[in-house]
Amino acid sequence: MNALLALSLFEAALARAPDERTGFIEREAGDDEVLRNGALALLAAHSASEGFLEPVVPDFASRELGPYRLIESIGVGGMGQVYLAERRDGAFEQRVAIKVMASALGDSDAIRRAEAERQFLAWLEHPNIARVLDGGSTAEGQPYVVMEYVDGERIDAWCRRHALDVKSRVRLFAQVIDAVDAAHRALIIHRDIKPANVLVTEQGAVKLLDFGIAKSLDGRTHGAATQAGSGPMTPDYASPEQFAGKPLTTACDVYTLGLVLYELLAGRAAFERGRLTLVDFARRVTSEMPTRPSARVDAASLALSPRALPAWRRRLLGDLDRIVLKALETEPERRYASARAFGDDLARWLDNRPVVARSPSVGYRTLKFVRRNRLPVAASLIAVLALVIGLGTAAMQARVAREEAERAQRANRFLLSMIERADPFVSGRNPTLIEALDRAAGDIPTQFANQPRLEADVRHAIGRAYLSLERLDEAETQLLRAEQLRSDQGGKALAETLDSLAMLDWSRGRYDVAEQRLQRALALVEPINAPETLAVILNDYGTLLNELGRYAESRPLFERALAISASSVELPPKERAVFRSNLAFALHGLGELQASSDAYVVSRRELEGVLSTRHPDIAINLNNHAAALRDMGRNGEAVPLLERSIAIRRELFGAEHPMSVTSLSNLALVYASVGRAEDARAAIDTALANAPRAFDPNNQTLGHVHFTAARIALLLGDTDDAIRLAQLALSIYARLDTVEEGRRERTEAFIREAEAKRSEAGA
Amino acid sequence: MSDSGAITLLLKRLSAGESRADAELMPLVYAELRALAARYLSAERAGHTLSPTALVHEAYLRLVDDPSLAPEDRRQFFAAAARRMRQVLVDHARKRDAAKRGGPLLREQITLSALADDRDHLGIDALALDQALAQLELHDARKVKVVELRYFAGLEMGDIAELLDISRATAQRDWEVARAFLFQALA
Repeated sequence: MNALLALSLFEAALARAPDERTGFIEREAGDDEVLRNGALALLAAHSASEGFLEPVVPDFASRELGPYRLIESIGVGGMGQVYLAERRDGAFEQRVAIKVMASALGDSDAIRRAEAERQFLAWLEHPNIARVLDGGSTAEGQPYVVMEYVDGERIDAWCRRHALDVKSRVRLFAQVIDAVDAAHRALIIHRDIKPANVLVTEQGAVKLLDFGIAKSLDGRTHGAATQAGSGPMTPDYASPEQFAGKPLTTACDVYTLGLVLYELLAGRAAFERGRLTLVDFARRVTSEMPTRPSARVDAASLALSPRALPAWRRRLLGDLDRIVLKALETEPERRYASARAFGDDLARWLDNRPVVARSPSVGYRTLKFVRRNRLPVAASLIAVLALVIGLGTAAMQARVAREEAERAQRANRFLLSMIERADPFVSGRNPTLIEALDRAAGDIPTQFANQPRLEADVRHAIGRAYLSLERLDEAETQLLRAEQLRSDQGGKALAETLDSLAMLDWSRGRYDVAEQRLQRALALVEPINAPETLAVILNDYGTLLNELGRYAESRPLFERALAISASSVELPPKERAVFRSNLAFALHGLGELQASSDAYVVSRRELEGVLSTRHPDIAINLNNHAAALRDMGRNGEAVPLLERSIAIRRELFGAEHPMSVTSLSNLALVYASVGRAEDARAAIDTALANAPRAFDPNNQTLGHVHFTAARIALLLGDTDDAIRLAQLALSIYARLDTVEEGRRERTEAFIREAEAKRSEAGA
Repeated sequence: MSDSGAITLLLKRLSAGESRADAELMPLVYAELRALAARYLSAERAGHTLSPTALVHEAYLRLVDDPSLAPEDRRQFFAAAARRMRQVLVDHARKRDAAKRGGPLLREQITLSALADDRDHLGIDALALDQALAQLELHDARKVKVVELRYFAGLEMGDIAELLDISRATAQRDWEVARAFLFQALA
């Protein structure tokens, strides 16, 4: 493109008022997209480059500013030089920091507005905020602000030096949130939160620097104090709306708080700029969510030993991942509504209470079959059938009165007829099944008038069916009505509906409500003799706690469920195997890897006793067991388990299913790492051959599989092939707008490494 | 030092419009800046972030330091120094590159202060900056002069406007346009 043309257009736009510039460029560029984008990129660089290349005028030493004497320069900040200073008159034994802005002042109106802004800041008093004391302008016309001098260390460096664990970091960070929250209440936005602006004193108190300074100083040199988006900012710590030049609200601070917390927990920035140009970096920040912090822990920068790394990751996994990512949502409306809400969720995490932040994948472990295996067509039908049959056997097993058995049979008949009405050949099974459920729900009032118990049973069953189809609103309507109908019916039935409602809340990310419901359900069944229901609720509660990473609490629940199942003849053996599998998962989470592995073995034997050896539940057990073995460094033993898991998946879903291809390429990598070169080659060749049919050409996983193939080639000593495959991966990434954080960089680094190896070998 | 008086005289002749004075002044300024840069950029100061402005100011103090000098003469010195400063940094970077040839893959940067960045990430590659300025020069040589006077010599906008005989507003806009261009080029 003609870069100079874009520069001219940008220059012409600068002559206009700030809020007209974008429109002007769009108009002038017409349909020349290249020109428009070029000029808009420069416009973005214009606001981002505030302060860039500004000279640091050095001869302030021994200078005086108002009642202050400058002692020494203590650094270069975002907008100018910062000096340590003291009062000349010795009136107070107070040392202050004075920030002198590099650019000169704007017009007198701007100065007056900025002065008002500074006065405003001076009212902001909070133990965690460095106070603004005074301000003015130098003889040369450079504005300055006098602040409380803080003798502290950057928060990230402080955490490292004191080797703070995850919990202590979160606790320390809570002070930062308190400060920001207090300022927001005073209607002041920081706009430049970053680790360099968060200091910690030797006593461990957080002090936030530069509150509102950005706006104050910006206002003085640019006039409009409320100017959207523009002004000094640090690209590495900017929010999407800052890049987009939108008006800034407190949501901007919530985002940048998220960036700081991310960095404290992962040891590296949420978005690493690497060699990206500013425009590409801005595009990423405005269009992508960062990868969850637990997946990007940098042991070296956190000074973690290799042994401590897995535990640190597990600590972040789940809740903390979700909390951080909720603060880092690209759309401001999806973030925490306030710094306070962010802080409250962290407080819940610190207290081991369920957090509000939800992840898109919650609940999959309990709504097992349908969600785990992503088989919407056949599985949803099976799920409903299982409910019908389950209702019958449960009633039987509970040795209920004859009347109740009859009631169950009538409910079954109704539900079966409902399924028969679903025509699988009309428009695919899934929609018609839902249609059938809708119709059945509509029929209930006429079918079950004056039979509240039966109505409750049917609504409960239909609600569960909706739940397994992820029709949460419909499920909620039915289950809440069932709860109401069962409320005077007492113990077990009500507990079962509460359990289902809890699963629903879980799916909605309302963990605290789910937990309350499960506790209520437990309280209902504990005093009565209903061991099977009790075991199921214990398991569901434990699974919720597993999801929340609260393994120490979930473990005894599974152990109790297992103890009940050992003495119960009525609980199906498969349930026992599931309890044990969940216990194994908790043990893995607690780092008791050997015990976890043993439990997986027993659970698998139990599953194999009652299920087909090709059941997807067994594939999951094998996969999770392999994960535990790999964490134990026992790659060799993980291999056969992965092989079996993959065989099952290929048989169930086909070799060209994405899940089959990715797990096969992972297996190939494990082969290569244990020296089974031939197997590794065969597996990766198959994965590569099937990949084009498994993935859409715009799916980045296609690139990941090629990258895995490159890694295998390098492990096997085939450098040329490794480079070729990695370049192929890069070219796949190159045509995509969105690629997972760090992928490109890792691939590029890999190519450099491989090239270095090749020239080493050649020399 | 005896140079001081000589330079003061040269500067006065320069302000009076005598262009030959420029040719005489340059080598003196250049030599001093090189000596200072070498000292600042020497190995034992690795990691030190260099402010070109500080360097030029130091050169001024060493070479001139004449309180009686009229502001316009003082400006002449900084204008001359700014042009040379850019050259000094590029020479130094090239020399360093040459010394490292055949060695590590990474080019060592001469880190210059670039305020917009975080304290930890300070640093601009002197060669990259020079290349970007050369590119900008094709489009608009005056903007490059503004950058040199502002960034390398730390002159105020008003001084720059007077030296280049343009309005203050024009100088300011030149500066902002160039700054955005360079920021993007160096990002």
